[in-house]
Amino acid sequence: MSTQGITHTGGARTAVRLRPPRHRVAGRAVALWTLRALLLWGPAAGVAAALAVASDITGPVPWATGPLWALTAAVGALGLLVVLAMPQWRYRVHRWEVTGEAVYTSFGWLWQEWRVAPMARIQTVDTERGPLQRALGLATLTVTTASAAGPLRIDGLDAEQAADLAQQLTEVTQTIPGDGT
Amino acid sequence: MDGNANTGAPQGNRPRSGGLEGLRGLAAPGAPVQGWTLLSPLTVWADAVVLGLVIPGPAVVTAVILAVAGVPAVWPLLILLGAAVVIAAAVGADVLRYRRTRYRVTDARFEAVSGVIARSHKSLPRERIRSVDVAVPLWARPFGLCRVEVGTGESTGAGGTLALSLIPAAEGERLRRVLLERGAAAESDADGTAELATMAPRWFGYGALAWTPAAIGYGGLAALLGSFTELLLRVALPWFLGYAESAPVTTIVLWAVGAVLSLVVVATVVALVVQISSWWDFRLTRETDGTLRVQRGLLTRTSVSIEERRMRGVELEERLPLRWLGVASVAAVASGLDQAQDGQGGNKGGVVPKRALTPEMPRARARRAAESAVRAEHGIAFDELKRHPRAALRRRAVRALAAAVALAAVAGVASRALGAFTPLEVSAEVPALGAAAIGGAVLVFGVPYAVGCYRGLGHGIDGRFLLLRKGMAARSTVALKRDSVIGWTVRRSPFQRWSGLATLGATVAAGSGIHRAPDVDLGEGTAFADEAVPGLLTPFLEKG
Repeated sequence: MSTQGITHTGGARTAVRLRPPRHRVAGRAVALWTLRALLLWGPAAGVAAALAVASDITGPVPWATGPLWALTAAVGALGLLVVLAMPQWRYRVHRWEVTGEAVYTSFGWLWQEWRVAPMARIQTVDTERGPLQRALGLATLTVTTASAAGPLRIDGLDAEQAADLAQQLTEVTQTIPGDGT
Repeated sequence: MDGNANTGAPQGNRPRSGGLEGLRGLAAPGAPVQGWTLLSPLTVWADAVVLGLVIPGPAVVTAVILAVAGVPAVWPLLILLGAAVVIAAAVGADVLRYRRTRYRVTDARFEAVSGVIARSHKSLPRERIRSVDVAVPLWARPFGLCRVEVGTGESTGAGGTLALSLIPAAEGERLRRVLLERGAAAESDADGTAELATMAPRWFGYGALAWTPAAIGYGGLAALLGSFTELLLRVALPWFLGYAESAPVTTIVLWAVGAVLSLVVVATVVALVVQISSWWDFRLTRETDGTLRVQRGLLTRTSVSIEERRMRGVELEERLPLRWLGVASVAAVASGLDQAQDGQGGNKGGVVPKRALTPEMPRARARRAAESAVRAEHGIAFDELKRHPRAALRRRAVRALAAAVALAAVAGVASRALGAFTPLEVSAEVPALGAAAIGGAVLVFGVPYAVGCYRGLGHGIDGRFLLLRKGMAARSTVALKRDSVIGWTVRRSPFQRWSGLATLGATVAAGSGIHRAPDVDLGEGTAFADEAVPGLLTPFLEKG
């Protein structure tokens, strides 16, 4: 896993390494991701199980019941794996850092991504709180640049910290002239 | 900042009282009042000519058919009357549209008021105007008119583009110059315009194999044949089968070859016509007002202007099979020409995207055009790129192998299932043979494709530019100005982490917003990104 950041396996001539951003997101983010995964995988397994039961009782296709139970088991097992492993894994990967010159984030679990944007190119800074996040006192900070490609997003920040950070970023970017392109 | 770009402008579609009051006291139409200008009065005539050409024909034909068929004379007359009413109404609406549309250029803004019933006042801040495109449709040509589309390059929000249809060609040219001029180089004449590329007649021939024209040619042919399916199956096929029974084999083969050849010839002719009408008299020029200008087209003459300040780089596009013939085309990487906008003005009904700077042309010429478009006096090292690690080749080879195995398995299982669940007799060796055949066929194409993909990968730095190349069937080499890179992304899948690779992405304020170098060595890619844009990554690097 990537707690050590991006290490490289190349030749000795390129002896640089991208270190991970300094700060972790809030620990409660683990609960957020667990709940999200449950909300996705729980119903999926439930639907499969319901189909299997329905097929068992009044099945028009007698041989379908077995495969449907197998499907339920597969979805359940995969869901359980995701619910147990993903939040912890994400927590190790999701990190952020703001310096005087740039914003740096890392996110993902199986597929991981690191993004860097210079302060001078930031165009908008938003915070966003869904119902789950509000219940847990968390927020997502979104930083967009003039590029149409994905913005920098820090998921699972402490709500107060996110607001402070948004304030700080907005102030810094307002002092920089130009339209960020 | 861009996010608040439109706060100062009146909302589109909502009449602003100030603007309207200014218009209420207007005198005779055509007279510019308070700096407001009307469209050309000829626009009504031009549109009327189009209507006059389109509507009466079918109406008269229908009327004649009805009359001949012995329908009471009232009906044909009613149809003719209806056609006349439709034309009159359309012309009347056009007159109203003409009288109630006006525009003006003030010091800070370009404004237009339009709409007969629902008035709309659109206002674009002049410093946000990124493109002024002038098109001359066929029917406007005899009247000396043109259509002008002014764009801010903003993908969302009110008032992204503003179109004037139609105004005098000279006025269109004046607007183009005035709106794109920045500061000093005002109202100067066309002198000092530098020609970067022009068309050579034999390049039209590449249209036969270029993707879009060929797709139109063969697609059109397929649609045509599709609509005659019934006729072909009921009449042509039985006739041919009857004929084939008694004919010698060579004749039948000749017939088949002839049929295929004639289809190819027809599709090729269509493709060539498309290419010629798109790129007739193509000129890529650098104007004195700091814009690049692409002019092209036979029936509809198109002019696209791109502010040089907004040019983030250029892209050399090489598509098979033309790449094998050493043919390439050039496209601009510039903000305000977003691919995301293609639906609403990216290439608007035409076959050429707005970002195209040249048609398909010999690679050396395309390269020179690309270099001069971004003022790279010493050229750009498009061909001296660093290869990606062998692990990138391994990944592609494994993908080809996996595809072959998967398709072979599907073929084997499917043929076995055919034998088991249908009355078809499938002998024991068929599943194995089928699987082997499909797998082998996939490998025969997949392995060279994988190798081609790998050889397509490359990245490098040359002077002011950062180069990224990828693609097999459509190979693209993009040269980005290093100072226009506004961020980096590093993405890694589980397999990439396993083989020490990463997909490096340079974000720019143009097009899709990101240009990627897939499967670079992680350490080498990081060093490359750090060297290409000094300072940005440095605080986050450690001595490894």
